[in-house]
Amino acid sequence: MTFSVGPVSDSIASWIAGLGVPALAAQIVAVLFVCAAPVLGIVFPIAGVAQYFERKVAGLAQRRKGPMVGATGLVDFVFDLALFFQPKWRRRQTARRFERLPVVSTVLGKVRMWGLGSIAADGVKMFLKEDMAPAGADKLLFHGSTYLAMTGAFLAFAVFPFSQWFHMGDPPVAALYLGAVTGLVAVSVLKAGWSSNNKWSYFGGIRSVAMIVSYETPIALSIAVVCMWSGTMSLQGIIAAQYHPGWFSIAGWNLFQSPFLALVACVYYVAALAECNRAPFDLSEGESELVGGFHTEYSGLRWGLFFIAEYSDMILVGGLFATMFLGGYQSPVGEEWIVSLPPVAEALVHTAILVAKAVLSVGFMMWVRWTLPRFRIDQVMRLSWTKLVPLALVSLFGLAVTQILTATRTGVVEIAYGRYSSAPVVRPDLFSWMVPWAVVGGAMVALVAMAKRWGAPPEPIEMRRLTGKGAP
Amino acid sequence: MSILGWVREIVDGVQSTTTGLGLTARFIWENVTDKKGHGNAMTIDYPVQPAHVPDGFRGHLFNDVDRCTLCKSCQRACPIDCISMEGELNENAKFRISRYDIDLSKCIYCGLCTQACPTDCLTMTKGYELEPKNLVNGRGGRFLFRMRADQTKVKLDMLEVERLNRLTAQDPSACTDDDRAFLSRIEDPEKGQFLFARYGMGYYTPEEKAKVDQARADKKKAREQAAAQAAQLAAEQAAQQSDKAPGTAGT
Repeated sequence: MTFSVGPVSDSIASWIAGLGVPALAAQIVAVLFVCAAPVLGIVFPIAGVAQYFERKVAGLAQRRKGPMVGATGLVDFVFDLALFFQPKWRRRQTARRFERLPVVSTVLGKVRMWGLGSIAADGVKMFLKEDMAPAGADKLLFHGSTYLAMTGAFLAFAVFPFSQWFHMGDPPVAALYLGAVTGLVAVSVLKAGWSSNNKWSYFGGIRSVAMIVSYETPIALSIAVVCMWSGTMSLQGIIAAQYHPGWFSIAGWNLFQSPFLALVACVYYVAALAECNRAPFDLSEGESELVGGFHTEYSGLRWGLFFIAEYSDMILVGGLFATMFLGGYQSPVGEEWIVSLPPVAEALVHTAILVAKAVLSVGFMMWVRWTLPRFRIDQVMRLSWTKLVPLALVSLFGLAVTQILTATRTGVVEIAYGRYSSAPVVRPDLFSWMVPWAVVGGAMVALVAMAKRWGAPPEPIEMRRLTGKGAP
Repeated sequence: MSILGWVREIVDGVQSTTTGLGLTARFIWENVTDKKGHGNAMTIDYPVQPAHVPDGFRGHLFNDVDRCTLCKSCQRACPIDCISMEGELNENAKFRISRYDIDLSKCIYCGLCTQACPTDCLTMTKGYELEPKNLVNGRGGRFLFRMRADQTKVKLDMLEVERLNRLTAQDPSACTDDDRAFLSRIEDPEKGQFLFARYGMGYYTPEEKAKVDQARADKKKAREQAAAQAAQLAAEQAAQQSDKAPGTAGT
């Protein structure tokens, strides 16, 4: 009996077994390592740093300075330990003299300017805060929902392809599984809000559920569109279908295959933003109306778990967006040399590329958050049901027609990519690539021009009276 | 709603979003690429940079004791009685101040005393910091005080008073050499630079503070004694009246 999730875990297991550990134990440790590595090694650090990064971006975007926490406390602490036999004023004096040394002062100045001390300060604060549950709270649900939030975020990483060899599993229904698992966020938020015995928390919880339920629809539709184009629900299959030989491998990405896929990418990103409870869809937090929303009553590390779950969701959304539309872990400039590397090296390079794409997406989400104000609940609902769902349906229909017409012209091919080969997919040639772009692009330009000309919303009566335009 | 209205809503949404994203991107870009760091930020790095104080700001009080006539208008005008003073007659048989206290822990910075002052010697400065380490020679105590001209052999004119006001309000490290020369013009061989030590947020030396505290404690004690005596007297009177009371009540 052997435990294995692929050659990465096999090579780690053989390395551990070489140290004199029994083979079975080495295999179990290796499998656990491979399963835990994405969460512990990639998601946790990014989530920790993202909090600092979010604050700094917020400051920069609003013409503030953001966190300016320096390392003075750390320097004091080190000198307290080193010079414990000295009186306090002497220790402080020495620390200040140390801070004034030429290179040290420059480095510490930069640390203070970029507020890097706030990473450590935030972590320490989160760990030291008291863990409280309000009187009358349902303790089991109150404590359990934090773990559920984490669970929903991390279960999704079980099918997440970081590279050809580095993933926990690639079930043929991965896309369906993702749709099911990411919905757990709604459950955890509702439970947290309900069990807190607090009306603000409760409002946050029900708002979040109403929103997430309506945004599951465009997400499911856009995932369906991508699965239809790729002919499979396996994420590795979707990535393999985006492989394009040669140095210009960016040409194979789904985003550029068809205008309908580009449209559905926008729909997916907006809907996923709502699924993460991120601004401008952070109604469940809504600190201006609901104190803290569903996590009003949470403190310390439990609150931190919600935070980590939120950032894990953001990373997941970035990664999924990359997987579905940006070629997954493929590099934009040439793929052959990476695929032909040995498994561990290939895993490192591809994981780095995918994480870079996910981090860019997280940065974009922050940028959006500090630009747009929060929507009202009716605006959120209207955006989903009257804009995103129709657009996704139009894309589904348009892409189906495109696919059939392209298939009659070029036929279907199976694309071999490393250890995987895709399902039978259509690869549009230049003509069948350009026609949809021209038609849809022309239609969009015409529609936008017409909408600008004739589609203006009716002005308020008062404004009509003042400007003298329109019907009296 | 027509289909064009539907498209128009999407177009407007996308346009306003991209406009907003462009604006924040510009802010972030300017903020990050600034050589000195966060160049376009509106934040004042307060303890390091001096904070901007508007004209007419009502900060700590300052009494130019050389012009004070001990009229006690300020004492009467003060709604919470935080001003106390003592005086003596000088050689010309005029009052001059020997002690002028403003208890800044009570002061509400209303400025009524400065309006009441007939000689305009009591003014409000722009100073607002009470933290001793932020002051140049701060050494305990919270009283505005400047020694008299005959004690320090220095008499300040209005311009110099204003300059001192300005210097005490600003960051100590921002002093120019000229300012330093001005401040260290006169030195007391025992107590060091007296202008900074004595002026503005100027502080009592510990000995003087002890003296003042002692005087206050004595005064308080005397007041309490007087109150106790009065209470005793009242109690005696009440006792006498209550002795009489049954008789009067009977008639």
